[in-house]
Amino acid sequence: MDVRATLAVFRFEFRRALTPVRLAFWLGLACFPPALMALIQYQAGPSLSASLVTFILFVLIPEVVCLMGLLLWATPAIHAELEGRTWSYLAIRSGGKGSVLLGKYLAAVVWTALAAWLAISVSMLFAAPMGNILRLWTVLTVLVLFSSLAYGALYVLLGVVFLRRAMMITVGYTLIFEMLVGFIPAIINQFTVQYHLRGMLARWLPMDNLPGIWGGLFQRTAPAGQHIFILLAATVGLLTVAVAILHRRELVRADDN
Amino acid sequence: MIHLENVTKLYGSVMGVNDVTMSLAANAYGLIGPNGSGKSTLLNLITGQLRPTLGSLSVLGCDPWNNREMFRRIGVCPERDLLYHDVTGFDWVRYLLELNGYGRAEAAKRAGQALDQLGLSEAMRRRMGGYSRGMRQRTKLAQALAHEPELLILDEPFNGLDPLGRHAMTEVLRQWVRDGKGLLLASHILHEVEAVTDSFLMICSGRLLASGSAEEVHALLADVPAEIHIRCQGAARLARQAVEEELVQAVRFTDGDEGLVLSTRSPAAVYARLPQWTDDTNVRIHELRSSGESLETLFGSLLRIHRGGS
Amino acid sequence: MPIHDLGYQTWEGRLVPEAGRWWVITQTGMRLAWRTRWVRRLMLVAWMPAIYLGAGFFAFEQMVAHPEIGRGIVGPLYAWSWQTGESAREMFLGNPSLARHDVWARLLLMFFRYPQGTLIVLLVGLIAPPLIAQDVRSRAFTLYFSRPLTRIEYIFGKLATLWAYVLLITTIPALLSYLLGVLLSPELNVVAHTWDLPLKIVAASAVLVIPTTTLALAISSLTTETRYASFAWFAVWAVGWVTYIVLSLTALDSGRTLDRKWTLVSLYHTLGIVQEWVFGLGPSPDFDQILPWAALLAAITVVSLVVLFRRVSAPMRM
Repeated sequence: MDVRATLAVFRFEFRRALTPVRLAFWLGLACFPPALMALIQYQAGPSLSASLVTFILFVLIPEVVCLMGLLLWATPAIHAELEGRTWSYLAIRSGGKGSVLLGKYLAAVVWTALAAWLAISVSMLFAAPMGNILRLWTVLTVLVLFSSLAYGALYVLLGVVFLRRAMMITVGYTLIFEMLVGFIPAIINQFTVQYHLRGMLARWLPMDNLPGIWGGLFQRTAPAGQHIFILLAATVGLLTVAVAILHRRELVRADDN
Repeated sequence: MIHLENVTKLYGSVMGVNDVTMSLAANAYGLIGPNGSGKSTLLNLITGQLRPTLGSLSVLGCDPWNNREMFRRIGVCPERDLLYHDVTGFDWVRYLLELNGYGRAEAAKRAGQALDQLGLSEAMRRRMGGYSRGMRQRTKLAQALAHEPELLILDEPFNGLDPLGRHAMTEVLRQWVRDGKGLLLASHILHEVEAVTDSFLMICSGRLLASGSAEEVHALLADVPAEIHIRCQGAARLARQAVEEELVQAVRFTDGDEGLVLSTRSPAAVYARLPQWTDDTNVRIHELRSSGESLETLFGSLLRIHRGGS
Repeated sequence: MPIHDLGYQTWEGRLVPEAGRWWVITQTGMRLAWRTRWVRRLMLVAWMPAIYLGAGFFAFEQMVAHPEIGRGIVGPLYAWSWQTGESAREMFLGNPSLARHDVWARLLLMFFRYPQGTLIVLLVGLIAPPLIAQDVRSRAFTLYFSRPLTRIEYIFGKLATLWAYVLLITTIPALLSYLLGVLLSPELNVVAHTWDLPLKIVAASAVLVIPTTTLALAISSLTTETRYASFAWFAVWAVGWVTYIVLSLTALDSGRTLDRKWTLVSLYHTLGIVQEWVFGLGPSPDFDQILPWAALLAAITVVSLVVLFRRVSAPMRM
């Protein structure tokens, strides 16, 4: 991997993300959780339990905001170049295709994490029942980081494998695995990113007294360090596979068609 | 500079390049072929974007597939238009130079120089979405030249350029050739290539049909019989008359007795005699046309030769 | 030298009738979409729930014909899966033939709501984003509108492409399942009890198809990059769905039932309310009961159409 080339791609992509349309998407994404928290305050009043507020913020920010941000930027990272017919200019550079992919991955992660961190910070205004706002802010911030890294790597891989229909397949994958399988109380849910994020949250914040089936989801099954190690290893593994596939694929044909 | 040995590229069951063998020393070459002849596939193989299904190739002494070292030494200008509407020409060229390993300051310097050389000094800080087609073509060429490659590979660089733009592009390429650097220029228009180089490679249906100098191509063209297409009633009678006077090399019937193709090396003589023939044979001509571009005829003839015809 | 007649030459072949020109666009759109492997795969998957629906009709009718089996196994199973409370259970177990209409309608509603409700989000998300975005990017409008084709015909043709696919995975399997249910019933009087259901299937399909496809096309017309269109399409569903679920959760936590009006925040749930009414399973048959939801769907359709016409009339205007 060429670090300099990766950073060049990151810089270029990040600058492109500062156009009005993309900033509007960013702001929309960052505003969704605080807006919903305000709606909850209006609808339910200040009587909500601390666990439920934490759970809602967890669902909204490290899950929904991160997933949507990465769906927009990480999944179509390569397809956007093919659709715009700019891939051939990038693929013949000595920096290598891998650097292009990693630079775009980094830009997607930073773009998403920044939106999520803004969402967390503003949402804290509505997290009234929580005794320790700072702790909640810190935990969610860390979760956003791991969520962006892991989901970003997963989505980049899906985008490289399923070039043309990446977004639809990623949505399908997320619905089936992260949303459905992730809730099955069996070994299979340990293969989802959400399981490890939940495990970390349960370790760092009390998640008792959640209503309905949600209560059983937050089990202290493993130390937080183990979850972090698994997520980081998965991130590195997924990115390595994505770069290897990109390296082997002949994308010029897809570009021409 | 470029060496291909029995290179074949298949896209599923479609053949992009068919058993091409060639060896090119460092020089400037024009790759000529009609649209869809396999030029772009061949260039993509040479630039390491595609892997040959069969055979092997080397460019500047190395296997081009994913070869980052080789990418440093070549400059490529693909045929397709570029569509980063929201980026300035300068930022884009600098970005590509950074991907080639240059530091930010050096990349900026080289990007500025390359764009300046192509007459884009004023427009380089504007977004490319506002560029004309000719400006985009020149920006594309700038990114290919900016890192001073040993070999420049251009796919249809004259597409969309107005006469002034064509002239300017030709001058830049001529200078490149005068500097003794390698050039492979693909086009489907002979005179565009002829203005830059006098060495040609002729490709059609994925096969390398011929190679040589401009004189050799023109000699080939001169030697290729012209085709005269006639639609009439009583084509056989007309053909007989033409053959008897030994002015045609071959006749071919199309549409039963209503279509006739005369191959001749003396088209003017045939045209001069045609009124007399129609009188003598009492044949009424509905349509008369000569074959298309001579280059097209040449490719047709070369293909027939390759397929074992004459 | 070739001699050509350069005067105006009228086309003497057969022309597509003016009223059918949209069909040319629809046909092309359908053909192009069908080339996508993932569309074909999704269509195959989308027909699977119809098997469940047919099996449901069959099981119910067998229970009616053989009450001993019905009371023992199938009846409690149905009663358990029902959400209409104790009265439905009593009615169902007491006199199943009377409950036929209710059961068939609920099975159809479940078919529309759950499997097909999710699958159309994916299918439309697969087909719709490039439908207009690609034309805007390649400036194909200049080609389209240099022919005797109006903007209405163009938009209608594009919409019909989506309708065709959505109807293929909702209306057609539902109607065929209904037919299968009738054929597998022990008596023909089933038709007398359920004759209105095919009409309700068509109405529920219209409720589902018209606002969603119009919205999808409007989103597609707003961008030249399909990724933005795909993202916006999925975001509309996800944001609404998450909002409603989170609000339900907070209500559950504080021991309340969430007011029905909050379903308006979610397109998915709004469609559910109107479809429930169409199948006669809502709290009341009065249209007033669903007026806000119907008005929301109508508003989505109208606003989407306005956006579509504006964009198609002046594609370079942002």
